[in-house]
Amino acid sequence: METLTQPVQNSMKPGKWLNSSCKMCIHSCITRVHVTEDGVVNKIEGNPTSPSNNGRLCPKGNAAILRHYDPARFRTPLRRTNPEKGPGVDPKWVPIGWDEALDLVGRELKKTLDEDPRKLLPAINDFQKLFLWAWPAALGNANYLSSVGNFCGGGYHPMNGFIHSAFAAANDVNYCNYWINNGGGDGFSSHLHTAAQANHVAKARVERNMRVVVVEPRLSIGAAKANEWVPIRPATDRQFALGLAHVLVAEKLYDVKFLKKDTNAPYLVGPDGYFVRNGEGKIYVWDAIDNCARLWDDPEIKDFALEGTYTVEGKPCRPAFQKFKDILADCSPEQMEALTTVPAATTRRIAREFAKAAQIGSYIEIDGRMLPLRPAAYNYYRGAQGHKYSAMANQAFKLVNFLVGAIDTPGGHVGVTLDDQMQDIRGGCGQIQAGENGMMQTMPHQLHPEVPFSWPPNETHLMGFFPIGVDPGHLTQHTLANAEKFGLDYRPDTLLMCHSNPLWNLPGDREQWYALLREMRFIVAIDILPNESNEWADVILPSHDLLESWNMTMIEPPHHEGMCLRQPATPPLYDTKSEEEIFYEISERLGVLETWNGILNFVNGFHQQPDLLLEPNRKYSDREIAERKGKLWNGKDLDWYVEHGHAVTPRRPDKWYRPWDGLRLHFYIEDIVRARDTLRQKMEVADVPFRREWEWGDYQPLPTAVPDPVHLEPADFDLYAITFKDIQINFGESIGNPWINDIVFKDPVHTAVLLNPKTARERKLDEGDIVRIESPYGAIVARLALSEGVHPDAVCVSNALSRVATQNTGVRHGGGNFNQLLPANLRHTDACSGQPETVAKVKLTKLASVPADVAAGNSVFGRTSGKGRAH
Amino acid sequence: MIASNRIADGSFRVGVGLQKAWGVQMATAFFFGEAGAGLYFVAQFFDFVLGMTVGLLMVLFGKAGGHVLHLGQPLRGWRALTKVRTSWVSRGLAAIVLFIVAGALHIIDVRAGLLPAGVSQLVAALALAACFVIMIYQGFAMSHSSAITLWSSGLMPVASLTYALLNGVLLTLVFGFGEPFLADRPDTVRLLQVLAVALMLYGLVTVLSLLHGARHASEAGRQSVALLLQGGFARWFVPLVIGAGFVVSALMMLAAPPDFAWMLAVAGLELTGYYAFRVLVFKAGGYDPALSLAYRFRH
Amino acid sequence: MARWGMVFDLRRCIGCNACAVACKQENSLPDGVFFTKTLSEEVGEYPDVTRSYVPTICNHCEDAPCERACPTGATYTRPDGIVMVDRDKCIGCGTCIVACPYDQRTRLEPEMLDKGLFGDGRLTPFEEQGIGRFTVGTVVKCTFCHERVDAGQLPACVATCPTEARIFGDLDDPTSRPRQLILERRGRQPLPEKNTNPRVFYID
Ligand code: SF4
Ligand code: SF4
Ligand code: SF4
Repeated sequence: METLTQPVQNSMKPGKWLNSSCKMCIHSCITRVHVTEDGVVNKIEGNPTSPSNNGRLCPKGNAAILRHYDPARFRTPLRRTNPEKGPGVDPKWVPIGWDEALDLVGRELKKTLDEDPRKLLPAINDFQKLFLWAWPAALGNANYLSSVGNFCGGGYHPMNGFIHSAFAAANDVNYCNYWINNGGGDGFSSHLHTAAQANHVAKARVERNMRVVVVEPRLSIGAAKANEWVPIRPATDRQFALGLAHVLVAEKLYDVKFLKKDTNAPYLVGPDGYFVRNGEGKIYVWDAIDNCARLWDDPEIKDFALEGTYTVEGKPCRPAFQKFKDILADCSPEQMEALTTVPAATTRRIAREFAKAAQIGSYIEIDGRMLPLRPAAYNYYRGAQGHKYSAMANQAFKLVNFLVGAIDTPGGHVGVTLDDQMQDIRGGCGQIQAGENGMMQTMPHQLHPEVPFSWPPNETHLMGFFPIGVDPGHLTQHTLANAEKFGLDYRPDTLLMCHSNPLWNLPGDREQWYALLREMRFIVAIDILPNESNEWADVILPSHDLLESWNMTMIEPPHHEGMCLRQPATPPLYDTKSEEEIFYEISERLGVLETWNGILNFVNGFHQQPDLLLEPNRKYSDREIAERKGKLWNGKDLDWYVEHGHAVTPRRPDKWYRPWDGLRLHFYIEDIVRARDTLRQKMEVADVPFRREWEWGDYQPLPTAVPDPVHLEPADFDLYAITFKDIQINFGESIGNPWINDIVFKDPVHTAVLLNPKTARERKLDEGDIVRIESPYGAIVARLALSEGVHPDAVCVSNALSRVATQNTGVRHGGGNFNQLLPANLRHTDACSGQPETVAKVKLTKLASVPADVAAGNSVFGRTSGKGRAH
Repeated sequence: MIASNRIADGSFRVGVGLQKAWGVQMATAFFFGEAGAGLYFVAQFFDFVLGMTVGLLMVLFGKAGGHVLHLGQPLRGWRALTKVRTSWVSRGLAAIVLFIVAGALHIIDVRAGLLPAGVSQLVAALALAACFVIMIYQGFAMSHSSAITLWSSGLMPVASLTYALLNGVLLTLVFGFGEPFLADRPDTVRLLQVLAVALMLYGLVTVLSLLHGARHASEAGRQSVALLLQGGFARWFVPLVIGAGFVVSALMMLAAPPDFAWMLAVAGLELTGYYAFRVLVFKAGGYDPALSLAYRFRH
Repeated sequence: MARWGMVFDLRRCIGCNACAVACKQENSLPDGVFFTKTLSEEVGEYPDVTRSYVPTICNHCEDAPCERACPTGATYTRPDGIVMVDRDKCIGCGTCIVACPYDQRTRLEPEMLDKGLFGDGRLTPFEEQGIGRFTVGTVVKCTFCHERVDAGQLPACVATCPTEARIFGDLDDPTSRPRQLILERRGRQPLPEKNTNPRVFYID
């Protein structure tokens, strides 16, 4: 019986608050979790002591409780009894004990390793326990069956490594006054720590009147909030940026001092694309006053020439800046308009506004340091850079920032490290190091060390052929379908997934992926809820969820740093284990425990502090690993974190602003040319048969305006399909959570595919029509909604419509996965970065009705509300 | 189109939300209220016991019963009597209770002559007054709040009263057919027929004015009227409410020979129109968006 | 005694509906029931088009038609202005629902509570600990998180809003943030023509 005095609001009920952090997306907003006296989690809030998310949470974070209590969760280890595998086919899992499950997995993996360790395809995607990604290295395996480029940025991370020696990048909200967002939702709907960033960006917008310009094919949330939405034809963002750069250069709206002193823009580039060096390898520049060549560090230099054509050491050469200027000659806003559809006058005006807002020449003192103040920045993300020529696209956006001197400055475009490991050392991959000739060392590998070239290739996704790229997991489809051509001397037959859903995130033909999975002798999945991929598993190893486990992390927070604690709010509801324990158990069974501990020491940075080192032959709990990570950050033990919840502070200005001071940045990326030639040479030596077909043109030290090949598809594919996520679903698998479903499937942009009304009229299509959306590579089905907020050439498919029917009947499916419209081949993959094309040319055909297989179940396009779950 | 479809239909779009709280059950109760009370009202003038009894039973079972069925917590329905100070629903319920008691007493009194004369007159007056309240309060219950533009018109009580009287007259013509007070007095029949036609015309004008007013009052009003006259409900509203309920029934009544079948047909048509009015006006009732830029933009 | 009110900053709101979900968490709302939700509206024609996001909530009207229309007195106004429904008095007639110009009230139907959030007819421990506050057949709506407010905390939706688009405070206090914002940025009430005098204001 309820008494009158008992509170009815959940957070007011008797119980306790625990400090923790969120994992409903890959980032880690800081939370407090309320647990009732009966041990039920009944409220999760942002932790008000967090300077990052400021006590706020996005809808996903607010919905974590329902993941915890989701009846579809894996409750025990499971073994498949149905030999038939297929999409939506019931695996007829039966519960088994942990010992049996781990022994089984150990035995099967051992068999694979004994035959050929390369036969294992790992897909480990837990972003908050990044160290798990390194587990296959313990087996000497560098395969990877998942797409990074498709859901964040294949070209993005290496380029941040080239430019900032950092994993990600953000505009500096603290000072920025002119914020260009291109194809990314930073501050509005997606990208880094959405709740935190939305908080800071809203303050800047409203309290400081920061101007926001959003360049996108669709009126996204950011575009809706922006001062200006610039609709753009999909896959032409690079050309827009080059148009801006053209104006900045033509009208001399650039930061001469920055370019001369802080970048390699004055370095002379020879006809071969390399800098012109003397016998000792020192690079020449041109002294514009004395009109002679000098070595870059010659104290006699009076003025670095940025422009001109010279001959040095017998070679015709130009400053890198001049090279870019030459490219820009063909990038006038008028020329770019033909591709982008952005009126030239708009591009010109934005370029001028941007340059004006950048206040070139201004300074600000922060912590006793005089820093250039550049309160204008161009940010971009997934969509803008998700194209064949991704490296070029990424660099084009960076160069707009370069021109006004807004790289790593207050108010500018700033590198964001992934997971700082110690207060004193900017450890791991994000470290700033001096490179040759006064330049900063480029760090394109932000996720794992370079995978060595091999022939025949050791990796089905050819990682060894991408010396400066991010894993192009999608290529496995292409290489296995053409195994002979790609020289694959083995066929993978084992798949290990951990919090990964490759069938959802990989581009390419579904049937081919299904065929690949059918080929697998053994599939094991470590996960929480059934999804498209793990329903193929032979064994499920259920893991704790975020309310049952320990962790310590801080994943690429834009403006803050410091470890966030995750701690169990309840004992595990079911017979689950932590990922740490699962991998330790498997490692032990495979006899790689010692190697695994060695790897963990390295990737977690424990090697930097001997007292934290893991002993070779021990198994550690998630709690013990978390404790070490916390100690490494600030020397505090777990009790301190349990009490305080986190060690998050604003990023230290000396690490955040120009941490490379004294070094030169890479305006011109010679390393890309070098990587190309080194690879080419390795291919020659190994006599790789497809070396001439390799997309050598993708390696450019400076971006050009050449259109991406997606524009060259047959003319009857007359529209461009794009996909998007908003804040309810970004960076996570939140569809299926009843609260998320309850808000997503009431939002008109997530319940139908969006088309411009004029475009629809021209094609005799109307609101509510059922259409087949067909690309040269695949087709999906959708219901149409007409929206004025769509570029006339675009077909916009919410990612909420990209799920397919699985064992988890709470996950509402659409009419097929958007990714099956995309090619998974080399032609549409950036050879430089591994990024696959994410835009598809499509044509629309009206259908009489929703096809029966789509309408079945709980499809968003079906008749039923889709509320109920079958159990 | 996302922008042009103004009925939000449960989605998170700014637009007109259709009310779902009052549906067919409530409409049926309203129907019986204004049919039963109307019948009783007219019948009492003629001391027509059968009419009064049927009217009373319609109010008791159809109206009160319908309401009880509709309630989420029927067992505490009595609580609805406690706010007569501000609530028309409360006032209406009080009237129903009073009407049932006084009306029943009056019927018994007419049949058996139990009550002393003074009391008898008082009871009759009370029954008639309560009956009158029932005939009109439903309109007030709807129009009193500004929430739903289609309902919030001052003409709503007028429509209620008109319909109630019309229903009463027609049902009296049906139930009283062949009864001495009509059979013996063709002029009374004539009078009632003329009255019915007049009420039909008056009702038609009232309903049309109501729609006209709603259309110009707010966006929700405009959408409601569009739904009734052009949209999804038009195929019911126009033929039934306007056609059968007013136009056809009025023409038939004008041409009607003194024949039971005709009376029955006219009453049937009119009551069908009236029932459709009750149901459709509920269904088409919509809320204005709390804040709409687009609407202001266009108007 | 304070008179609680809320301001919605339309420039800040990004339509994420974290508010709606936070409210569902805090108040254990059944599937499909919202005490607050943020709507969107496309305005204009390509390319001069934008989308506005409009948070909606019970306005805790000074002159609440729901309270006037309620035949049982179940709907009442607390001295601090919070409009409440006493579930022990509510008979579920729905009069308040059709009287509220802002469509802010919901009657709890049996299937809403029986189906459970996962639609399988079973309740999770989270739902079990929360469902006791609801009575089938009665009307519910936002309470301005009365218990949190009584304890000196912000309403759950306000606390979570990533953009701080929801500003809560005492409208009687001329120095309160909502009062200042209403003054500075000319706050307007929703549907003023309905004469309800809402204690919720929009600024843009
Ligand atoms: S949480 Fe805030 S920003 Fe998000 S929809 Fe609600 S009011 Fe708007
Ligand atoms: S918004 Fe509606 S429910 Fe809230 S007080 Fe006003 S009339 Fe009542
Ligand atoms: S104030 Fe509380 S009850 Fe009202 S909408 Fe916000 S969270 Fe829900």
